[in-house]
Amino acid sequence: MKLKLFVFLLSCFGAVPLWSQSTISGSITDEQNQPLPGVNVTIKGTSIGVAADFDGNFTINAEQGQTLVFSSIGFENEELVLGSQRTLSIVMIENTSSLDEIVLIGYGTARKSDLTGAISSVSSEDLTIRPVQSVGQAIQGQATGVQVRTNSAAPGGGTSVVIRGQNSVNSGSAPLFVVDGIPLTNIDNISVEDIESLEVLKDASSTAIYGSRGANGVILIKTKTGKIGKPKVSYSTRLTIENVTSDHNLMNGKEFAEIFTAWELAGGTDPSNLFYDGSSAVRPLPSEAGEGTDWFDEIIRTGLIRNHQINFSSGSETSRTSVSLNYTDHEGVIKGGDYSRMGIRLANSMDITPWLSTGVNLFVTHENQNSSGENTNSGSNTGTVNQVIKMSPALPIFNDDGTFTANNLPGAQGIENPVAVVSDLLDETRDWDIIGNFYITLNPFKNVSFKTSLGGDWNNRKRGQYNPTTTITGGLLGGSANILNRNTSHIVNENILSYSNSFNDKHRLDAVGGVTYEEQTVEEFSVSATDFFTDAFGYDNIDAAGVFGQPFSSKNKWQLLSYLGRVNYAFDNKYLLSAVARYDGSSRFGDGNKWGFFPAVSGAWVVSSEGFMENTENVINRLKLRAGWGRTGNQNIGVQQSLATFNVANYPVGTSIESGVVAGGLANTNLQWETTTSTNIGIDVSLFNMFDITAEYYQKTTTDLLLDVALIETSGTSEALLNTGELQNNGFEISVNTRVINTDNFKFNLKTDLFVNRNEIVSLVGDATQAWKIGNPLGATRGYVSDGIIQNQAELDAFSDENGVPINGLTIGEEKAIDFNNDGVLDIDDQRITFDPNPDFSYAISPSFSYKNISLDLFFYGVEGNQINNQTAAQFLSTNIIRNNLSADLIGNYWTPENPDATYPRLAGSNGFHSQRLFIEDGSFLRLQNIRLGFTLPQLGLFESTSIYFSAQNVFTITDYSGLDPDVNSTPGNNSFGVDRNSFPVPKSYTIGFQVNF
Amino acid sequence: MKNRKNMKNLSLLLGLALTFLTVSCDDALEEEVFDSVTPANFFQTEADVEVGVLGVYDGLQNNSYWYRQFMTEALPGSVGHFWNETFNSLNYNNSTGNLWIMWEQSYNIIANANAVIPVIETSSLEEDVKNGYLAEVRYLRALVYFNMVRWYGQMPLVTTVPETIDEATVPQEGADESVFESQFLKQVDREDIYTFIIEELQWAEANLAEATFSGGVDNGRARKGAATALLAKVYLTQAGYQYNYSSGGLEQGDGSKWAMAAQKTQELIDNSPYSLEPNFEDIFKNENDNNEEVIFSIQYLESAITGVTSEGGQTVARFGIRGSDITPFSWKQAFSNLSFYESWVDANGEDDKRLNTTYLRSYIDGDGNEVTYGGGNFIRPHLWKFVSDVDVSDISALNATDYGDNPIYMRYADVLLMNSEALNEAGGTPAAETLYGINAVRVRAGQPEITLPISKEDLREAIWKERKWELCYEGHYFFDSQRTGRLLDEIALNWDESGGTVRAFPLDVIDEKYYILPIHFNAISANPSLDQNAGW
Repeated sequence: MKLKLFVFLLSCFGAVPLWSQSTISGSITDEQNQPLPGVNVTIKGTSIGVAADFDGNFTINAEQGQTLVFSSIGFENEELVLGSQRTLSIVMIENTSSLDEIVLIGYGTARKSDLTGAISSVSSEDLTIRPVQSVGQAIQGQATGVQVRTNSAAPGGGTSVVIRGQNSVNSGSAPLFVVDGIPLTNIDNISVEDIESLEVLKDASSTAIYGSRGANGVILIKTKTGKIGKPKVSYSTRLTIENVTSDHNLMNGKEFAEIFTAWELAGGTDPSNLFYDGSSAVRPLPSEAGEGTDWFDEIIRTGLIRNHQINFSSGSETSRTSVSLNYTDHEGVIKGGDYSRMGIRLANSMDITPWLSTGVNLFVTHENQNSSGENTNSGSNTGTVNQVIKMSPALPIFNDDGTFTANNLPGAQGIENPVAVVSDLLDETRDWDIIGNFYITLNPFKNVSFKTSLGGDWNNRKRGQYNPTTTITGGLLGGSANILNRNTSHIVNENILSYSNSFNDKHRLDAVGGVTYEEQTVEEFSVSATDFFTDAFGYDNIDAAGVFGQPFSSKNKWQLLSYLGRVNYAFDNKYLLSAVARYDGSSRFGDGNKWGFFPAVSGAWVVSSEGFMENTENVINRLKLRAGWGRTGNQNIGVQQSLATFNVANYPVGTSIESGVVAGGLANTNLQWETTTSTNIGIDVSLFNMFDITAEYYQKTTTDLLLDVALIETSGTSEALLNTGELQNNGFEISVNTRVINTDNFKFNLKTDLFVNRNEIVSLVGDATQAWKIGNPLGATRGYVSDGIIQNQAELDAFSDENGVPINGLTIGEEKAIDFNNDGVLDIDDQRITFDPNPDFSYAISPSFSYKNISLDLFFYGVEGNQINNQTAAQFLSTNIIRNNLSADLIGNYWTPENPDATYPRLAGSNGFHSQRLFIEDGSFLRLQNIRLGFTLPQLGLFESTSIYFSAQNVFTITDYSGLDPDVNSTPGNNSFGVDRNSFPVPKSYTIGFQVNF
Repeated sequence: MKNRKNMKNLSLLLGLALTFLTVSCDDALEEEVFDSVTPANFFQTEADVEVGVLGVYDGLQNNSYWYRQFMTEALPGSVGHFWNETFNSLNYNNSTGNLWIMWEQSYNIIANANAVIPVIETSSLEEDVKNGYLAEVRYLRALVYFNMVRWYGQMPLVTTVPETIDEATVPQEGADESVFESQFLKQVDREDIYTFIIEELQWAEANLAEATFSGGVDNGRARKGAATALLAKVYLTQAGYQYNYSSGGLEQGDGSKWAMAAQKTQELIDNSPYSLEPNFEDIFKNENDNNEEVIFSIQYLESAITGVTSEGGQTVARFGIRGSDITPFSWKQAFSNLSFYESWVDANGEDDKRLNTTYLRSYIDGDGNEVTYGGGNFIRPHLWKFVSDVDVSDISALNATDYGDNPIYMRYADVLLMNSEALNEAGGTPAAETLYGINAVRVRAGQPEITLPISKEDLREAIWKERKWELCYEGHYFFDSQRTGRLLDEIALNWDESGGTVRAFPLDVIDEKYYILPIHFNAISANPSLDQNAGW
């Protein structure tokens, strides 16, 4: 019985050779007659295959009449029917078309020409053409439909990446990043130079394989691996110098003391009781205040970035290894702010037997960020950049005794001296990161492979802060220390079975099925203390403190279990079909709604391969039409949202603190996924051997939006996360790559991208009390519409209610607003959409020129039709209450009866409606972000290639925006973007870089 | 052979894969909770019940609630500038944020009480232990409703927790009228709220233990006298003037309640553990928290005792020396009203022992010079009542948000004054017992006793003034002005622009609507069945 089964199995798989063979050997070279290592040599129709060695030589057992197939990435496949020859000499033709590039598609790869969905590829050359610190910055402008906003230009400051518009109000809108198979939410710790290829999956037919995390798009990254061939070393380095070249044009000491005095008098202050009365050095008479202190200048320096990257790789037939070290050190343009990163990477793969291979990818990164107190990403009016505005320019930096001065402006006395902050305050964040993946691949049968992997990422973050006694806060508390420690452990297991085969040369079938499991645990604790007897310890000896704050610790966990499958079918390379499904279960959702099903289908038709197109081959080189539909989800919400919880609410009894609890959130067992259904149609066309054009149109509808919905306050719970509301995005993207001139010596290539997205809130609960409104895009907010400055009593009377009391208590010289319904009351009915940060379109233009070994690359990008809410200006243009320094624009330009045409309202008004007119600005801009001149030196002995380049970033910007930088996003968030609130100044920078391979 | 070996390896590998995948489907997705309490794992023992009860107390201590209780004090004008100038400039309306926080936070405390009551009721504790806890929680809930009914007049009367989240969601536009019958939405009239409060307080009074001042658990917990005193104040309030929130205007209250208020206060005078603290200034001292004059107060502890700052209060920060005067801080919120202060000194002179505790009028600065109010930044006397044991030269202490002093909600002097007021209003010509309460308070303050004969009207005026001097800044002034129908007169009397406070409206615009607060826009927009109070 057993024997029978064995024989049956043998006959089924039919791989046991029952006939005699001969040994065939050969050598493989490229067109330049250079030996080509690592080429796969297989016998067609069997699973027998070998790889060529270092010198391009191979040996294989085959018999006459069989066909040998030679394949290697970047080369056309060669086929050869064996005759009687025993020794072969093969020349591989380099593949100049990008269509046969292999791209990542999630749990597998595909030929670019086989794609049916919307996927943009960014090559490692394009990623590294600009000297940037993070992957987010590197993909800016490199893939159509991807918007990258800089949250902060501070060292280590982040970016927000949004693919094809915001899909969600409350859940995250960030795409899923997958690095070597590990899903990650943050990839700022990965060195751009370690990336071999990057794919942006944009439509649901591409991202549905990531199911509940596909709705915001997916960015797949493959890092560099070793290749078969002789060992390679590459080293690159660069040095960047940064300078801030613009500031807010604030007043100097004399100008400020004068206008402050004018404001006091306008507000009715007794002339004998003025602030700048010459009574002390910090309260000089306006006439004696002079230049005073330019606080901005005092905290600015020249920034410096140093970067080194070294990579070793080698590979034999059975083992391929790549190791690298990268180091970045960034001293920011604001004193005291710096960031450094050191990363070590190992990628190794081994073939243990022809049917078993294994490998490891490992990153270890250490990051160290010292903040200059600029309050990155908080969006509030605090931090160094704001303190510069808040400080009186008539105040010196130091008191006579050498201690730091404290701001003395009435109403702003608690503001820290920014010079003290940048020099003395400690705010250090250290991260340890390990991203690793171990896998085993098994090829038990021809065309079948099974890969199981276990990996994850582990992060430890420690943030230590110390306010020394030289600062105001620290001085009052006797020094104040705070330590936060967070451990994140994210484990991923994937088990993927793949099948790939072709039949009759016409049909190709690729199928993937798998089970994956992930869990993440976050543990956090913090301690704080004050009252130190010395500043010497910083936060490193917290037990030396006299008073301790409440310690804190927390732990939470989520799990995700998924089943996935995909079938790709191609007929005659003309008709392509793909079907995907994923079934995801998440611990974050209510008991009855843990599971979600995410299907997608897509197809493509390569029209240019049809017989009837033969005659147009020289005009239309290639034409492909694509269409897809799919459904994806978003599970990006906090934990414990579906459970009823209680919160700690301790209360003192006698002389001790007793534990207390109160109700937290209400249970919501109905909580479920946000679902995005999207349709995509696309066309890829190549014309006249000159233009490659890709155009796409998409429509995405997100339903069951997870929103924090206000509950009836009488229930005692103010809000809960509910599935409600609908959001729609539709848009258009086109990218054109033009080889304008393409001769041997001179090349001129022009790449242009255009992206248009329209976002609309279709339905939402609680509309009346929310800033946003149905029918408008996310981010658009309502406000009163400015209606000019009230010039005289008649105009004021016209702006009064039925009792003759001016609306909002306004007076002459203040800005009125439009009372749309003329009821004498300004209320929510008179508000209109006054701010819309969504652009009409965004675009990028990248011309590149090369002449022999000299290259010149430029990169322009721009945004058109968006608005910026300039909250920075709202502070330094405030004329009602002066509690900070002011813009020099105000001098002679605020309303007085003698100056009725002034831009700004009168001093010491109450609460005019000028915000919309003055602070909502057009944010359109066009920026030459990068210009790069490169020289490649000829091969020199040991050095295979050497190149040197000079580049400048942020070269110029054409914009009407009055702030420091129109490419600003102080408050990243789905519904609060486009606000400029004390943003870190974006420097201009100059880089020199050098790269050598040997 | 090779293939069989492959098969074997495949099964080995699948086994390995399954070891990696160590979880079965649905168990894997059960959400694990580590750092929070859920109904599934809590309220099992007496200790748990006590923890739930203390959580209700904590709501009163919440900084969002306690100091806002005092905000309306600014409205009649004894005090200025709480947090912003909204109240003492009368520049508030139905979208004033602080009004929303007062409303929302009140319901928060009520919900905490509502959540814990059924837990106590169904617990397996001894009946008397159970009733003791229940009485505490029901007292606290009644206290919050009593504050609310005086601020807003009418409101939903919520006594349970929502069973499902649907019950708590905001009704959709065009919702059926029956939806608004829900406890969470239906607006209840003042009379019915009072009926509820009285029932609750009577039950609490019957089931609470007598205060023992024994330290330990007794400190700061609601005791029988707290319920009795609050009941007295409820009756007194019902007897006084009521603002008609449907049609506007003031109306006489239920005069029969004067006698009930007199009876309740008399019970406390005749037979209770409370007594007047001999020295006025000792009442508020941090070291003397929960003294025998205190009937109910909100508990705070400074870090010097506990080692952590989380249970400290903001009394110093909010009531301490203000802003630019001597410290570099701008967020000390309360300043005194000069005309209120001056009228007091005019009436009593420096003999009134309360003046030096209530106000800081001069101090010795860092250079050893005496600085007296009246010029520069020190325009008015500083409010000093609650922080008089703080060292004025210690800047960091002045800024502390870590102060252990317990704001007093009800004290015995208030009961004495209520007793005199109730007896005077209930009876005819004042008799000796009518004067007992007010004279006890006056004697401690170093003031001469009021003697018979005195007319009912003169005594009414004397009691009114005595309440202002004795209890100013303690959160009673608005409620007292409301009850006695004196609000508009008091606003006019204390119209004080010396501090640069600009009133938004001229005096003649001020009308009786100020007797009640507007119901916040947020509440009405979420629940359109709520009627706004007349005038707003």
